[in-house]
Amino acid sequence: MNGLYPAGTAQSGPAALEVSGLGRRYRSGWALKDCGFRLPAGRICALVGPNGAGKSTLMSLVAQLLAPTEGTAEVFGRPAGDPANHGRVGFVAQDKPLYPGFSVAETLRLGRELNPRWDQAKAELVVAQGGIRPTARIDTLSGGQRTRVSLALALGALPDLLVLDEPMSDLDPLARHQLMGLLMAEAAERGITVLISSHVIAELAESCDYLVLLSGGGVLLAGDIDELVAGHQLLIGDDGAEAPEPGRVVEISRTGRRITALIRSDGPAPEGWEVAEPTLEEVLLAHLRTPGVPALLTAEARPAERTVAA
Amino acid sequence: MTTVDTARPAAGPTARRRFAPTGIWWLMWRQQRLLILIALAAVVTAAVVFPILRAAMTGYIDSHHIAGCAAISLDPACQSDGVQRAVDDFRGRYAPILQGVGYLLLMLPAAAGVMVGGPLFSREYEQGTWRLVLGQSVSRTRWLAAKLATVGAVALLGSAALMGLYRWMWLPSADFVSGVAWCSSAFIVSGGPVLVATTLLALAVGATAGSVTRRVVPAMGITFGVVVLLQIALASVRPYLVPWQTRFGSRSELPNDVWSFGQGFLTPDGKRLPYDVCVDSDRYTSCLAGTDGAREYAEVHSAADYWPLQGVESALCLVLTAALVVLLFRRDRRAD
Repeated sequence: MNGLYPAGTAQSGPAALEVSGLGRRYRSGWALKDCGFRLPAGRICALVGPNGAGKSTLMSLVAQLLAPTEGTAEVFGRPAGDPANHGRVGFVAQDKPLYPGFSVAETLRLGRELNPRWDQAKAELVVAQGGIRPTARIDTLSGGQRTRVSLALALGALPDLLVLDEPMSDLDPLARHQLMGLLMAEAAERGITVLISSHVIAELAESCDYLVLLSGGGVLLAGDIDELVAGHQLLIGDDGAEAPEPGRVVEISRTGRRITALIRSDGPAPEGWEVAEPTLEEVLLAHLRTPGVPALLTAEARPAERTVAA
Repeated sequence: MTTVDTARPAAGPTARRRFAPTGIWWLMWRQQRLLILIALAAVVTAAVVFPILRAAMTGYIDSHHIAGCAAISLDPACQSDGVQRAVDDFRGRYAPILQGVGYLLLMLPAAAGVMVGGPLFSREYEQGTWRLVLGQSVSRTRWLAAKLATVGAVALLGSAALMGLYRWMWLPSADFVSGVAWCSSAFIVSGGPVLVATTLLALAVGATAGSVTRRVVPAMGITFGVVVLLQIALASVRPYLVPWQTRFGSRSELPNDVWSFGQGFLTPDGKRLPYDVCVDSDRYTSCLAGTDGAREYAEVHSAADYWPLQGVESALCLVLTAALVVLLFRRDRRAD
């Protein structure tokens, strides 16, 4: 899939999610095509990418709301729809759908009735911390309160893999902070894996330790965030500097006599450059701005090679 | 935002909990409880009102000794003084009720299809709540089956109860005294299993329309149109669903419990002329004579054909219903 790391490498821990060759075609075309990555258990993974990159499609496929056109999504080593995964995947859709005529308590009851595992105290605590009365009707709640109820429902079901599609989109900064805190506490307490999407990169950078960058329906970057950042160097120089090998260059840009290049750090830095460590945002943006840049998946993010489709 | 409210949702009393639905059936009850209550109210109302009406009708028939008598009757027992007037009086009082209830029930399939079937899936898609349910540990197939089973059971039990009560109310004055014949448009659907089958078919039409359009209002509109067209189509093929007889003779001599659905004149060489062939003629008799000895005929179903007719039409509706349900599950497996 990419030439940077040798194939068939060591992988860290069991995978919570392993996606390979996954594709979904709508009438309008492919929303996701040949998508493959691996998410080890216990990580908090940011799924980032521009609008229309295929984030929601990928999440719906993982949550079994969509059937794939091709490829597989495996959760904890079994196909996503396998009975053994019953109740292990929690999902909150982008628009936070809830029944408008239900009360908050009835909404939590729905979670209790429809999931094999349920922690009523935890769900009620999440709701109560937001100052939401259990008797309030869903259609009287604000967007942020609805998000909180949706999250209470998802956390109450005690999932091992929690899939959250743009959970923060309609929250103010304080509420975002509170909800991320809630998720982090849950992840620390139960060791769950979280896949959380956003098109605002900075929003997730500080809370997540793993990242998948989608663009145009395919994976551009996947892996541990520190490892991904360390895998790149930012070169600053001028016309006198030695040109880096073309295969290592992600993006090169010129402002007057000054040249900035983001390159893969799989070799010694070329002569004559000032070398700096890029920020995560610089790495992501450089990949998004450059058409045709090869995908980079760290060893633990690479799905196992499969010769026979499941 | 700092208020901490630790109040727990009230748990139902233990006596109630034993019968309370759990799991996905709790959700079905919570979503369809209004429908269930409306259906229950309709059945209870019918169960209270219809026996009173029936008692009034049987009382009238018994006290006036008009059992089995029609407005025009050849039975000698019905020729005595006052019978004619009593039958007319009975018809003036009770026939509109029998017909009115019959026509109301005739609207039940369209009402069920539009109000219950149409929104069944389209509302979930429109509000996005299908993602809420399927985001819990519920498979699509199970959700689909539970929803269809819930509204299907309510429609089956509700329409069967209403139909049965209506039929029971109709029986004492059937065909003769009330003039509401088994083959009348007010009764033939409303008073038999065809009503139940058509209601189930209308529900399936609504559910399918909602699953295809994913929008509530279009789904309801399409359902209304399709159900009305289906009922018109069924009404037009209904007499031909089982073999019928051709009887010769004047139409006025046909018994009251015979369904005559095609009349005309049959010429000796087998040509069928319309019944009104001589209506516009000045000299009716000479016009008829001019039709080469044509005999008046009628295509009829005798009362004995009632159950075969009901059976075939019900089966037809149920086969269509089953086909739509299979279609729904197949669409579902594609998971769009």
